[in-house]
This record gives sequence, structure tokens and C-alpha cells, in this order.
Amino acid sequence: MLTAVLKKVGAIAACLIIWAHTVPQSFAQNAPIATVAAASDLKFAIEDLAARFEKDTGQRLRLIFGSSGNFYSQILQGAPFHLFMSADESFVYKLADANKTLDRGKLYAVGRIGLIVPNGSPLKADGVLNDLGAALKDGRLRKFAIASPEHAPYGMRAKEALQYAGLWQAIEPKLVYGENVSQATQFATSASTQGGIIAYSLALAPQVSRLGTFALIPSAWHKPLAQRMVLLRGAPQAAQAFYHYLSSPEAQAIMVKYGFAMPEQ
Amino acid sequence: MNATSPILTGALHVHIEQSSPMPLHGSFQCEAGELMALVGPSGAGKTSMLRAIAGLLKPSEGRVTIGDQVWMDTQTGQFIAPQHRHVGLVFQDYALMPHLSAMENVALSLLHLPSSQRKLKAKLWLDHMQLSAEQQLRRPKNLSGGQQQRVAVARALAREPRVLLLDEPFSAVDQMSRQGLYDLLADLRKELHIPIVLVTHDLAEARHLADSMVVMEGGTILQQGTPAHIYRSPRNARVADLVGVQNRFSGMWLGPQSAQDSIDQVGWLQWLNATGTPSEIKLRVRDKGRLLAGQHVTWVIQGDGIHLDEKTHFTTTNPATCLPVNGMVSLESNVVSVRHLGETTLASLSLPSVLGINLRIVRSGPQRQRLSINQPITVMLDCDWVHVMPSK
Amino acid sequence: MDWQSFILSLELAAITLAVLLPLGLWLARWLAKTSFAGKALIEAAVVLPLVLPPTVLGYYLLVSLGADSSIGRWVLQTFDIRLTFNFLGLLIASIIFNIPFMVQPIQRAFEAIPSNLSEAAAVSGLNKWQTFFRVELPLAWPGVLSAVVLTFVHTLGEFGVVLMMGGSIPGETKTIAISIYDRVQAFDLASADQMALTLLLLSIVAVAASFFATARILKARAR
Repeated sequence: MLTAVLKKVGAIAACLIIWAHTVPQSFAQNAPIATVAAASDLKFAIEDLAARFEKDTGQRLRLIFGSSGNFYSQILQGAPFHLFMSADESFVYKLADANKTLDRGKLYAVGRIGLIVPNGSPLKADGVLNDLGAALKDGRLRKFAIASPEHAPYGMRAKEALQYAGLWQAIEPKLVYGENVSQATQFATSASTQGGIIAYSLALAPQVSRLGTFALIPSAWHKPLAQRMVLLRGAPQAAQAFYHYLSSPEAQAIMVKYGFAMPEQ
Repeated sequence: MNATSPILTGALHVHIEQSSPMPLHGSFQCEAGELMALVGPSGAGKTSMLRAIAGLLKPSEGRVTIGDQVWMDTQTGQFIAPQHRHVGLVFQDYALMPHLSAMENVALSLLHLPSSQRKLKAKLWLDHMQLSAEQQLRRPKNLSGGQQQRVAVARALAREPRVLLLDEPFSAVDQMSRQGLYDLLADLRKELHIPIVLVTHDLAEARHLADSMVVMEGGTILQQGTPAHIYRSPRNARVADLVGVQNRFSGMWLGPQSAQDSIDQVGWLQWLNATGTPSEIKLRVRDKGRLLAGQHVTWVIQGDGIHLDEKTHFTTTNPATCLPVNGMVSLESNVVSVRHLGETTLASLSLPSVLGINLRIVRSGPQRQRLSINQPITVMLDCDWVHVMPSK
Repeated sequence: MDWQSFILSLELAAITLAVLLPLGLWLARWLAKTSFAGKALIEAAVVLPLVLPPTVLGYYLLVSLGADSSIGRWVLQTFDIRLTFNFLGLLIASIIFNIPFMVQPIQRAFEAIPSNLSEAAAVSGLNKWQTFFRVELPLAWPGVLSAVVLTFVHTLGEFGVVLMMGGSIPGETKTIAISIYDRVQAFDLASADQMALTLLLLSIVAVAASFFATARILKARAR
């Protein structure tokens, strides 16, 4: 008896869930929501800008953050993104060459990397990495986090900086890789590592800054983090509007506040 | 309960020929209202035969008909599925659905009726099987073996079957319940007037209950006939072994020895010693014209043909004169062993005239008291009860 | 608490069940009742998603169903439907990687049914469907219930495959497991805690309920 009642309740509940919720887009025929695939370092900056944009224009945006390299692969595989904000130009150019984009995109910001040292770590926040070198020798350093150099631009730049400082060979066995620079930040500020190299924009966010001390690494030590964005084929009007909004002085000022440098015009 | 209407009764005819996956050869038939026992050792193929009749086994070659309806004919390609055959099958382990009550189990055979009628009819069948109302609501797990069997029978009968098949119905039943089962079968025969086929490896039961017996071994049907006939005249030594004929001996067929023999249609059978050499005993038995003079034969004599004569004692020790008088051969014998079992006694008698051979007898009633070891006693063999078969 | 992701996960689990239950019942019964050369291969194929790393499965699905693949291209051209980076793609993946969870418990349950019960049903006049619904399914029910709950709970928590070919699109492919991952990366541990706890409790309740229901069925049968 009880089982029969439970079965009926379960069936009704299942129907309700499916009907009451906005049916996922693959089954719906309405216009797609503008989707922005943005590099992880842009998390706090773009969330802020997207909120302003939605308030000003009433147009909804869908935001996804991750590693630029992953997005690049996914877009090649046909992922339904509309605006791609990469932390590395080369991914945009490759997509343009593969005919996935409307044009060759626009430089929207220049990023910076730096060393972060969590509270209580034996490392010092020394942006020119002298202390890091010493820590490698005297054994204070056991684990160090960077984003994956395979597909995350911030990881690639971190590797370049470490190579420039002559520390790569010594530090490589102790590296922990984040899937993107957000995850690397997570690792770097946890007690499981003694520090890491992360994005400046992330370090400025209050959620991160209270977890440790940050020091910029000289930008000459690595290739520039030329962050390029591009509209993809089939991008709806809202995505295009946001693309243009991002180049406005108002938006650029906010980007600077979040730790980005503006590209020389 | 209503007997199946006469139009739907009919005799069961079965013919199967198959060599793989398991060998099955032979034919048999069972008339309406007849109870036929299918006997043989385990692995003889008896259950397979039942399954073939029910439609659960599809042999490579064969034919099963009931009355004028063809259930299976490999030659014409006909095959009626078990669902449509109206066959009642009582499985050896009853195969009752463990998640249904007794009544619900019987109701499975009644799905063609509307649900209200189903319960009612199921109840009637179970009442007929003498299950109380409270027992009818129980799950099989909570019923005794005998009760479960009756539920299984009720379920088979609720199908209003054209043939009733029972697979080893006695194997799990204790002695007390057996009588109940015999009564049940007797009642069913009267009421239903359909062929009833019963598989058993219990020969005593088969003899007791069956109108007709089919002896099987290794998938092959060896003989069909009334129990009396099979015991008296087994077709060959193998059948004699399978049905447990005790007194089986070797002999040499001499054939008719005189003109009178030919007129009387008799021949002479020389009893061979255990070593194979001829003894002095010759028996005068019916000649069915199937044997050649000088042929080595096997012969049997059923217990009914063996008499004990305590009064006659041989004064002469010349065995050469042990020839039949009025169809009976009198022989000197010695009781070698006596075993009392309940109401019967098994005894073994040695025969000085036939070396190395013992006669086995079974006695019940007053005669058994008078048997004791080493007692000399005269044995009289009735040549009418001698049955001769070619040696294997 | 990311309700959108939570409801998305529930939807994914429910629809997966709706599709996989009849399919699983049919396949499990077939495997339980028949034997033929090559059956072992099919059984191995059924178990495969269980032993395959989710990322491997996700990768192969991405490659074989993506817009660049022959299947993906054909489906796009013929039906104007994509098979990756959307709910439909997740559904396909979910159905595939849940096959062992659905089929195996049910197969074992059917195998445990004595074969003479189906025969007794046939001889009593039941056709295949009646035998299935009145005899086999009730007897296999504890196994079916197990399979349903396992599949449901497993789908709720699936991460690797979704990560590989979902794209984490909110409202579309951002399931609750992905959302938890995302919240952790955003340093929003409060949210992550809440969602993880919800998932944990839901899983415990579902599994406990299925054990409880199974025990009741078995006890009722023994009465």
C-alpha cells in the first residue's frame, strides 16, 4: 500500500520537476542566451561588469569561467559560446584561422602575474623570487602551485617567469598544477602548499587578498599576457553589445580597478 | 467440479525422435481416464517426455496429439505453445510462485476470467483440494509439503486441462500423506476422464496405481504395457532389470523336442548354471516362435509362479527326473537367507540342481513365519509364468 | 545554494531513469534468460562504463558525437540538433555510463528466479507479458529498486564525464557536482558546503530508503 502511494508521489514529483523548470535549451526553440566563456582570471572583473551590463540594458548574460586553452578546444568541438575572452592571444588567432570567429578580435586587457604566499607560510612575498630560490635550497618549499602550463596562459607565463629566474629545474618536481588559474589560486592559498604564482586580478579580490600576501613579478620576465576577446560565429545581439561595452571607458576603468592594464591604443 | 465435457476428452499420443541435445526415442499413448506411469532410473528422460507433452521442450522430430487436436507435429511444422495447450503440469518441486498466496497461485490459471470470478473459482478448487480458508491465504512458504502439492494440483486443474501430468509426485511425500495422494488420484480419474501421466522412479507405486506403464532408460522407451504384463513378460533383460524382476536366469532354448511339443506350441528351456554350463533342469514353456534352437536366452519367472511346498520331500536325490508334471517343476532347495522386513519377508533359496543360482522370494502373511535358515524346502515352479527373452 | 544546477541534476537523473529503466529491464532480462556464443562480450560491454575512467568516456563521447565528428555532423544537418555541450549530450552520456548500474542488479535479480516458475506460468496459460508483470517483475523487484536508486544517485553526482563534454553551461550542463567545483574555485566555500551536504544527504536518504523498501518486501514475502 505504502509502496503504491510512494510510486504515485514519485511520478508526480518527477513530472513537476520537468515541467516547472525552464526546459534546458536543447529542447527549447527560443533564442539562445548570450554566453560568455571567460578566462578564470577575469572572474571577479567580468562578474562585476556583467552585472552592470544587465542592469543597464536588461539583457541577460551567461558566464562560464575556465582555462582559455580548454575553451579553445571546446569551441573547436562546437561548444555553443558566443564571446570568448581569452587570457592569451594565440588561442583567439587559432580560432580565427579555423574560421570560428567573426573577426580577429580585440585586445581588451593586459594581465600580470605575481607570487602569492598564504598566511602562515614560511615563504616571503618577494616579487623578484630571491626568497623563493633560497627556500628551494634550504627546504622551506615543499609544494608550489601554478596553473597548468599546457593550456592555461597564466600557467605558461608562470613557467616562463620561473625559467627566467633560473628556478624552473629546481622547482618543477615540487609543482602542483591547477586546471586553471582560479584553481591554482585555490591551491596556492591553501595550507597544502607554501605559495604559488597567480593572476594579479585574482589576488586583488577580497576573497583572495585576505588569505595571503601578494607581490607582482616583473612583466619583462615573461611574454605579455595579452588578453584578447573575440565574438564567435552566430553570436546573438546581446553578446555583441557586451563586446562593445567592454571597450567603453567605463568598463576599462573597472578593469583597471581589478588589476588589469589597458592595452596601448 | 465439472468433468471436462466429453467432446474435449481424448487419448494422448506421443511420438518423439531426437538425438541431440539429449536423446529421446519412442512412442506411447494414454487413453482418456487412464493413469499411465512413466518409470525408469534418473536421467532416463521421463521429465523430458513430460515437458515435451506440455510444450516446454521442442524436440527435433516428433508428434504429440490429444484427441483430434495436434499439439505438435514436426513434419507439418505445427507447434502450439504451452499457453494454449490446456495442459495441467504438476512440477516435481511444485513451482508455486513464492510471492503469491495459494489462492493467487491458483488464480493464475484463471486469468481469462474477470477478476471477481477468478478468486471465487480459485477458492472452489482449493476447497476441493481440502485446504481451509485460512490456508488458502497463506504463501507457499507457510504451507506443508503436502499442502503445497495440493495447491499445485489445484492450479493445474483450474486450467481445465486435457491431460494431467505429474512429475515425481511421491518423491517428497511422507508415507502418511501418500494415502491421501492415492485417494486424490483415484478421485481425479473418476471425475476428469482425461489421460493422466505420472512420472516416478518408485516402481511399487507405479504398479499400485497405474493402468499402464512405460519403461524408459537413456531417453529410450523400452516397453509399454499393463504393470502385470511388464512384470510377467518384460521385453528384454534390461526391462526386467529396470522393473526389478528378481529372478532372472540364463538358459538355452532347445525348442520343441517332439511332435506333441509342436502341436502344443511349447519348447524346452534348459536352465544354465551360474558358470554357463547346462544344469539338469528343463522347463516346458510356451513357444512364441521367436527363438531358434540352441539360442542363448535370458528368462524370468515372476514371484506368482514360485510356490513353496513344505510337505513334499524328495526321497530320491536323482535330479534328472525333475521334469514338469502338470506344468510344475518341483525342485529341492535350501533356505540360504531370510530377512524379515515389516510385513514381508525376503528369502533366498539355493538350488542344488542348479549350481550357483539362488531363487529370491517374497512372502507375506502366515507363510513367512515358517521360513528359517538352512531349512530344506521344496520349490515348485509354474512353467506358465516363465518368460523367455533373447539374451542382450 | 545553486538551485538551477540542483534542479538540472535532478532532471538529468529523472530523464535518464525514464529512458534507461525500460531499456535496462529488457536487456537484463534478455541476458538472464538466454545464453549464446558471444554473450560474454555483451556482458563485458555492459560492465565497461563501470571500469572506464569517466574522463575517458567523456573524451570518446566528445570526439564521436561532437560537431566535427561524422555522427555529430549528420545529426546537425538532418535534425539541426547538437549532441555535445548541451543537456541532450549529457543525457546521452548519462544513459551510457549508467548502463551497468541499471542492468547488473536487475540481471542478477532475474537470474535468481527459478526457471520453472516461468514455465509454470506458461503452462498455466500466461503469455510472455503476463508472466513478466505477474511473476518475474515482482520477484525481481528488489533488484530493480536497487538499480533505480543506484542510477539516480550516481547520475546526481557524476562529474568527470560532464566536465569533459558538458562545458559547464549554467542551466544547460552545469550540474550540481560541477557547481560545487565551481564554487570552490570561486572561494565561495559556504555555497560549496551547502550543496555538497545536500547531495550527501540526498544520496544517503535514497539508498537507505531503497534498503528499507527491499527489506519490507522480503519480510512481507516471508510472512
